[in-house]
Amino acid sequence: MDFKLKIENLEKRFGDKVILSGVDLEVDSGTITAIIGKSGTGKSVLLKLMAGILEKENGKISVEYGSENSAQDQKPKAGNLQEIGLSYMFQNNALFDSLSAFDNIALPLVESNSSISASVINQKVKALLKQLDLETVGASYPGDLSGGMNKRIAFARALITEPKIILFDEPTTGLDPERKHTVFDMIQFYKKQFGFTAFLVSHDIPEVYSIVDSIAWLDEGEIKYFGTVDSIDSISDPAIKHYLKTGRLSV
Amino acid sequence: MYLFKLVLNFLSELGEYLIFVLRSCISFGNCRNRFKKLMQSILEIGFRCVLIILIIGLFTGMVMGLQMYYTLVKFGADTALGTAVSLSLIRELGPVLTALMIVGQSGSALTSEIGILRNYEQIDALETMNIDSKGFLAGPRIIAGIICFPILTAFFDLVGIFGGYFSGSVLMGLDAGIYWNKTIDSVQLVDVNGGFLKATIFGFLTMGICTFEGYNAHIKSAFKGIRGVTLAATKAVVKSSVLILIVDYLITSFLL
Repeated sequence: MDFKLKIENLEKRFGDKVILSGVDLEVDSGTITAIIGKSGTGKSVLLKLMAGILEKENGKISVEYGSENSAQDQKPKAGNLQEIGLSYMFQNNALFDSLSAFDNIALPLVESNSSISASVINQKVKALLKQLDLETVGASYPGDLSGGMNKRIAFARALITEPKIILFDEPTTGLDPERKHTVFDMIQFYKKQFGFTAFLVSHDIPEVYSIVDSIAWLDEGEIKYFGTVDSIDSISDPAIKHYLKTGRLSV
Repeated sequence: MYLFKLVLNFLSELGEYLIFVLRSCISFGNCRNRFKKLMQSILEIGFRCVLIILIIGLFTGMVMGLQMYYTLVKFGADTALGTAVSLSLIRELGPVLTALMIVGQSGSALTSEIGILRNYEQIDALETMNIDSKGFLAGPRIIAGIICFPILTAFFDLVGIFGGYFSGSVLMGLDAGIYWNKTIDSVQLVDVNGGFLKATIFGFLTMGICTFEGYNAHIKSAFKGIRGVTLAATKAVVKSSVLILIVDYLITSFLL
């Protein structure tokens, strides 16, 4: 079912420090949105608010389905997007060292309260391992595998619950240029296959533009630019245009 | 004013701790694969401490046997050695030393493990997977503590009493029959129950503290990262050790 994800006037503070001072964003389902910006501008905080890991001070995160406008308002305790199915791929993968790749991927299903049988879980994990070309590493532990392999395991774990939304927090950090492109291609490929909506925090400008539908530039706690890659050319401010095109602040 | 703030902070932390422990235990009740998680926690907290508990118990009993023998023999009361060793161990030293040893061995490791999971966002990952992290991580450990502490205390007591026999009878020459008869005659069920009650309470409190400190390592510590985790582990061990002695006094004063 198609939906619109709406973020309205989202605010977050840590003590006296204002991180987000009113973020507004509206994204269609089935798209990939890159969230870009300088370090420390609150990109990961925005994702964590969406995932319900952090609690917002103010604002609303809601989902509107079709034309009926049946909004599911975010409750004060965030995490409501999880009701429509949300996964989060962490910057450092957040895999459990004590679990094998297979068990890591199966974890969300094994521990979920829905009564999915062990054989169904087994089938689903095996299918996903095959799809992501991880068949040979199912019994291996994250500590024994390469960074790129662990990214794929983390991605498989994010996909196992068939989420409608996946949040990627700097999925290419620490990878060489070739592997970066592999990860981007992987996200694009599986987005087409599984049809999820993706938010992708990245510093890889302009490489990340090759897979995204829209860009959200977060600066000084607000979204300063939201639009497609093509529409960057129509920006009148040369400094902003230069930054969005190259990732560098100086012209 | 400073004292008021100190008391307020203490009460606030106590409240947070109690809510955390209760929520963890309740959430664990709703978790899947509870038996597996509990067995794993018993292995981590209990089984790994068996050897060290046996060694400490044996030597504690042996030292007590020696010290008490030399003291009692001055008053011609060396026949009371069995009574003195067994009651001291069962009522006091068994539960207290066992708890201190488990906290030192398993509690610090537990705090560090949960703290590292927090550092590497694995606790956040559990939450995004709709898994209650408190029930998943803390709940089974606290329940395992309640189960393991009395069992290990029993091991400590038995080995300690044997240690007392070894040094008092085998080394110092006290008649073995007297030692064991006095031990059997003097130990009542109420003494054993009292010791187990203490051990159970220590298990609940200390494993609660260790999981609480690890879980909140990123908030409670002045430092983040690895330093935060090591500080959390130190705090957990110190708080648990002090609490064991305070609670021991309180329970003893109620039991006697």
